[in-house]
Amino acid sequence: MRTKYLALVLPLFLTACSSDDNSVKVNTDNLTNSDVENVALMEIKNPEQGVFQPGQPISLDFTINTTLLETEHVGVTFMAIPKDKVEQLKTHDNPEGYNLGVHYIAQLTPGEQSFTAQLMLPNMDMPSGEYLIAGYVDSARSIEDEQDLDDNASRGHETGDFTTYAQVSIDSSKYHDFVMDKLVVGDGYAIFPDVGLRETSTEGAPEHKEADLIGHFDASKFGSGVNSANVSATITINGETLPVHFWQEGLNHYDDKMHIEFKDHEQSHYFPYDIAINGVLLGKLHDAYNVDSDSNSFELTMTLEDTSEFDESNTANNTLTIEVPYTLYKNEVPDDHPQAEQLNAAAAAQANQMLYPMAAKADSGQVSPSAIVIKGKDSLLIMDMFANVYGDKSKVAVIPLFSSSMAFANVNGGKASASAFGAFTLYMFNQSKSLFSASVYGNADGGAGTIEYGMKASLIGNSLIDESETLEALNKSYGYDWEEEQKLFSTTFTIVIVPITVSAGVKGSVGVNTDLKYEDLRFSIGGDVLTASLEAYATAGIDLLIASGGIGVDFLIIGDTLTAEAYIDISKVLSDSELVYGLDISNNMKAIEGEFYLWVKYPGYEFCCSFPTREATKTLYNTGALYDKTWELVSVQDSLNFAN
Amino acid sequence: MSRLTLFMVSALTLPFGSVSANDNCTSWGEFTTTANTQMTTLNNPSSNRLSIAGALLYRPLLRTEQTYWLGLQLHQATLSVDNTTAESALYQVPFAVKIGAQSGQILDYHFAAKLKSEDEQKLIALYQTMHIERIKHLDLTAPTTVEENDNMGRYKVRYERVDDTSLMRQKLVYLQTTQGSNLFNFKLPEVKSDTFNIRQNACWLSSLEGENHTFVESEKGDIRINVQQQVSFKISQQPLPSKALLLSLPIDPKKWPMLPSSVVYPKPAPNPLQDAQTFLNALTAMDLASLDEKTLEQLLYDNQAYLLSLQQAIRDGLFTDKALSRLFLKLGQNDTSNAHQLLVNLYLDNEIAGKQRFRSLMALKYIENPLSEHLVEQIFSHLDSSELSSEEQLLSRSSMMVMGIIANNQSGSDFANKITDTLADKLITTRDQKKQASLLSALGNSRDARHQDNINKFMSDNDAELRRRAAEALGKMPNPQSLKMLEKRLGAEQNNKAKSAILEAMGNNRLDRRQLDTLLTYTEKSANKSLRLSAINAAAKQQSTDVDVKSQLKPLLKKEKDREVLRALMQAIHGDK
Repeated sequence: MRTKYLALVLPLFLTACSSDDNSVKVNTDNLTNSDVENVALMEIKNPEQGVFQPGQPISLDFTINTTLLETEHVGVTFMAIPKDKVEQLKTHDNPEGYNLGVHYIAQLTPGEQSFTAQLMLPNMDMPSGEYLIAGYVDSARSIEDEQDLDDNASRGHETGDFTTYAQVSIDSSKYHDFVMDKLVVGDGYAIFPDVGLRETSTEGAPEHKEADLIGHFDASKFGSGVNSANVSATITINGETLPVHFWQEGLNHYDDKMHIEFKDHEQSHYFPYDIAINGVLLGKLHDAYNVDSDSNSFELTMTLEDTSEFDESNTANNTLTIEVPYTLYKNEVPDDHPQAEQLNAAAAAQANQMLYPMAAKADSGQVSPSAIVIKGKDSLLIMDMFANVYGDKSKVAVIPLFSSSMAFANVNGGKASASAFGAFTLYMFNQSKSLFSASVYGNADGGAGTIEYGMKASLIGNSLIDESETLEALNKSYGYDWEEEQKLFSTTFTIVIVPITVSAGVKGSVGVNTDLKYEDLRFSIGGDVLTASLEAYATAGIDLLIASGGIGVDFLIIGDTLTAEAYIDISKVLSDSELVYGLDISNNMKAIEGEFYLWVKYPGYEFCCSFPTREATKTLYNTGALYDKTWELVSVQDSLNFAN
Repeated sequence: MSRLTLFMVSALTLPFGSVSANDNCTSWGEFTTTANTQMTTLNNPSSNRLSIAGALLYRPLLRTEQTYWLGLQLHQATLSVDNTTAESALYQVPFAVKIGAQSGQILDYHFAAKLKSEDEQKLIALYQTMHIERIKHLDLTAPTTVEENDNMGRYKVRYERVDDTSLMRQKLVYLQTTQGSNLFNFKLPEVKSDTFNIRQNACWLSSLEGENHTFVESEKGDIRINVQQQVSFKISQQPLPSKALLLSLPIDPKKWPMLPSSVVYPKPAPNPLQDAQTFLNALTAMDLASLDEKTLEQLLYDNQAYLLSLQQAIRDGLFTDKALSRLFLKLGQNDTSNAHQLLVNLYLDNEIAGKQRFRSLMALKYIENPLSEHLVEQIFSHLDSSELSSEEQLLSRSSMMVMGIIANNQSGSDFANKITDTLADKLITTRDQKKQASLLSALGNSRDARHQDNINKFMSDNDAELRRRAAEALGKMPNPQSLKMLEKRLGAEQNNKAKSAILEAMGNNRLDRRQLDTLLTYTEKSANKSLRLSAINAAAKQQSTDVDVKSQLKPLLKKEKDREVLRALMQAIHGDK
């Protein structure tokens, strides 16, 4: 993670809003007759609002006077400092002030020019009291050979002349305002299990651990006093509104609210969410679903709730509602299953007779919310799939996709198969790349006493391992992991001849660690089908030049281990008409943690005495919480006896 | 002048063959351009001045009825950033521009070195200022405004003839931006001013003079870039600088020998430790797993002479597994001849664990300099070795796939062509189906379409696995011929895995209406699940060119129930992208 080396001062320096409004009012009557090149700060007006709170925007009208200069590209920097410490601006390298930002002037014009700087009081603890706001013109020293540098800065407080200062009062009481800026559901749609796959009666927080909806919202906070809030969400379907439940990071369960914290000094935040819906709500979604409609949808509403003892200044901007298209799945038996007909009949019968007959149940009694188990008289099918978007595709997002299956048919001495697959697709700036995938499968033929197996690994569209063979016995281990550093997206465009390069990629490690065995008519898959620990990086900026700026990304995109333990024993199919099987697929995943920021290297004025080169960053996006979760995708151990 | 600089300069000037630039139109002139850049990030301003100067050579090259190539080289180029001037090897690389004979439009570029894509754009930007071929096809009896493209986007430009030999060119306004990435999310570039006076001669330019002022701003105004550029070119009557490399290159740019990267991207001489043992001691004393990236890279670069000593150290278990994982990656990125040798040695060393041998293959993926013939031969021979253990067989098959990746990294070079020729040759000559399968995957990884006919032969092989691999390989080299091969096989293919691979592969191409309709027949519920999935994924890829896809997929939502297929459908219909 990038070091927050400028934590104290620079983020404040960066809080200035863009100041497009260079509302220049040139007063040519006031041209000085002096023939020396100079620019002077003439006045900073006191703002009409006399009292401010930390984290509040502030507008300042100021005037400069320029002589014989038409310099372009000039910065004016501002700092607020307690009135009794204003002398430090002259004497201290690091005065006890607060940077408010820089106002940009496109070009100086001889005579007086007035501007309005849009600045921001830092979103941090500022002691209450009287403050002076001082300014300095030409903070990057763009003007060569300026005659008098003393009048670039605010001055005269020693003699009681505050013309070049703005005087404000800071009230550090608990002003705060939360704003819900944007609400997104993963890929823009939702898929839920259809009737018969999951219970539809329970209320309250669901017990399962697999997410039903993954997405994110962007939220802002103004004011320094309160830094946390709760978030609640509801789904409205057919006019009924029901609550949904949030994954509780670290607590390993779902609950009705999510607690979020806004980091200090930053106003814009990204918050991922992981939502599960309970049985009653799933039932409502079933009821409302119209199979003949081209599109079905529900409304998702998310609300920021102030939990502090102080009143939030504006609660009208705390809620957003979006419409989410959805559909229902009900996996069917693949046509190529040797006993597809029997299984289809069994599935239909099960669906009619039981509450949620096809849901996979682990030994622990834990119900998998998505796995499907269909048992025929002497046939079997287990299927599971998980896929979701983690992150913001326009910035950084990853889509993990996991699927697994097991099948049996009592034909020709028994045919059995097991498979597991995992893949990650990366999105950066709305462009996608297949990142890493791995899969294993085995098809055992009891009659022939053979096993056909396959194992594949592929990175960024390139095959690295692709093995398959039919054997009578199998005992293979694939234990490979390695480091990668891949530039995935890169482009350069030139503004005339000045090149701007944008590049982004991933670095980290990937691997496979799987054992495949077939012995005495028992086939097993064991180990980690796929492991990945990958970070994303991106840089963009002017290439070649010395002073520079751009955009950077430091993200953990995925840390994942997909573990499979699968066995299917057909040794007793002929002798005892019995199949013994087990399928445990679990996943440990961390996804999307990091930040997306602007950076700049620039010569910057220190109010006292020097112009060191500074480096500054502005966080554009910062994950407010981390997805870090382990869950069972499917867990089944059972036997199928078809003697009668 | 240092030895390195001397070598660099000589490599860019010494002719590969005899000077053959006897074309009357070959000319040169003094070229200078200066760009003043003002950049404001987060309201903080900074300014820079970039200048490029040199003797710009122009040489007409291969001409056919449809196209012709123009060769250019900025000989003895100097680059100045603010007040620092340096000779620039990069800007001296000869390059060629392919022009449509009927339209005068730029069709392609070719460079005499494997350049980073960002560096290709730097040379392209130089040429775009000088591009006048389009003018030859315009009626300039009256002032004319047309639309043209550069790497910032599409813009309107006005041409006005001043007299018989000279004209004025003014870029007026950008109409759209063509950015390769949304990272900056720029607004439409603003042309503040742009006027160039162009004087033509019978062949090309006799002079070009003018300036451009462009302003670019990010969507939220966080970044603003303001560039003012002056450009000047005046043809010289002095003799051609005969040592300029462009003059000795073949007339067909595709036959140009490539300058080695050490010439284009010269590095300072390594500063090695005292001996191999000292190097090993230093390396083993460090925590390689957490060592700063740059430090490890520099250490390996400085001590490239001792890299071969690492083989025994790895055999002796002097490094932890995590350290080795990092070390292998950095050896691949090191890309020196000794690193190549070491990685191949390790891959072939059966006293080393299979996991580390696999890592050495993964590291080889990173090389961008050609492997020596000897090493290439060793890798290929290993595939044909008899009595390989089961794991060694897997490694040898993966090594072919890595060779394909290496060839793709260096595509277009003689080295890459030799690699893919060997892969194709082995594919045809071997009778071992497992090897054939790996070689098909390897050729797919190479993306070298020169061998698609050989791959296509396996589209009708008796073995379904080989047909699947052939389809996947053809899918990695999308072009009208490979698409035809895939399409031809689609109807006849009976194996679902192979058929799925064909559908997915077709989706990588731009399909016409008929092809798309064929594809969509496999999305129907009656088709096998894997075919439905592949067909929907392939159809979804056509959305950028065929907006009708969504409406054709929508009715499927009423019938489809399979979770995986539904997800693909919802993604195609409602997904962001």
